[in-house]
Amino acid sequence: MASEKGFDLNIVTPVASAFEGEVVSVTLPGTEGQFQVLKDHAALLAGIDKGKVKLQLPDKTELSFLVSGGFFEVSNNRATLLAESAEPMK
Amino acid sequence: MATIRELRTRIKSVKSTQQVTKAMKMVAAAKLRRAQERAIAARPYSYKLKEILASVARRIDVSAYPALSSRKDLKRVLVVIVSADRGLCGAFNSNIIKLGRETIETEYSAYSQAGNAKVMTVGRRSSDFFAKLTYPIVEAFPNVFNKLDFSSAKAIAEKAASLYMSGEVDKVVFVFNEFKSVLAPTLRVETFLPITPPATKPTDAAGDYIFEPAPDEIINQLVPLYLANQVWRIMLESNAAEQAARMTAMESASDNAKEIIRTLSISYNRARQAAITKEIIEIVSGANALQTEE
Repeated sequence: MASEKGFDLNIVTPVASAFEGEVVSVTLPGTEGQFQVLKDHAALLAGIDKGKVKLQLPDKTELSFLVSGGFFEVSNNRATLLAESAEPMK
Repeated sequence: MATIRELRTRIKSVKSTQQVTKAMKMVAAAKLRRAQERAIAARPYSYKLKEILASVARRIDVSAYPALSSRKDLKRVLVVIVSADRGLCGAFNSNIIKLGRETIETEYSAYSQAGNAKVMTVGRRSSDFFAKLTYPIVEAFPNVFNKLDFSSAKAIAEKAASLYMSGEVDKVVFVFNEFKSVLAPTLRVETFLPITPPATKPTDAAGDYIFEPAPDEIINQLVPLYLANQVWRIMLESNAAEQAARMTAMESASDNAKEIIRTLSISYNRARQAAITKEIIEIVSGANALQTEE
């Protein structure tokens, strides 16, 4: 389970699970504009455009993924990003 | 009775066949493992997608969306038959083709007689087979399993969905092999369109959602994705089932070859012994004849 600071995020694609773990924040390219999700976010279902997804991990490191469209769902501090593809970026 | 030389060549040829079937079994086993892994890796995505679709469907009026509500006036049906690209996998292909025809002839016989049962084939085997029959074929997708990727699933889903949306067909069903276990592939007929929203029990997460964009737009994006994913899942299942069927078929072929070699070896040894005995008798009787002459 997630600690005090963060929440669980799971990035899944049809081919594999691209990321699974705890994050402090996630920034997403929503179809209605970029947005950021933190812990205790209200239940949300959003469409995602092509673009960069930024994660901040509890140890302050940042990870980025290039995703190509999909959906993002968060409820009860469990977030799932369904992406057609997700490639880690340096 | 076969001569010794004939038997020897037969044993040799059966042995080389056995080598081939054994190798094919090993290849199928390796491919099966990969196919299984892929099918399992695709599951979380598939489940989550279903969950999201269900949660959206619960909050909207589904009758406004043709993809989500069944039509009252069922006139035309599209049957999609998913076979393998290659043979040598036991009754895998013939079973699925048989089930496909049965589905058309029995369940949809009324449509079929009016020429309203259309067929779409996935995989070379069913494409070749149905090309020889008289059913109206919408499109064939042969050779998709050699390099199995999501884009071909998407193309198939899009084709089926466009026929449904344009009203050319009122229902789309898939006939395919589901991978249950290595020994028993399960034949399935599944309704693809209209989508019956999976009835999910409200989980603890079923609070009020913020939709961004509005549910309508989400549905418009979600439905094609869901359909493509369904096809993808079906293809992965079928692929795993095909490899399992081939593995089993090749295993029994190798076993049969072993049995044939055994019986042939017995006849070979008998013939060899008989020949030796005959020779000895000839020599002995020849020697006896010489002795009596003296």
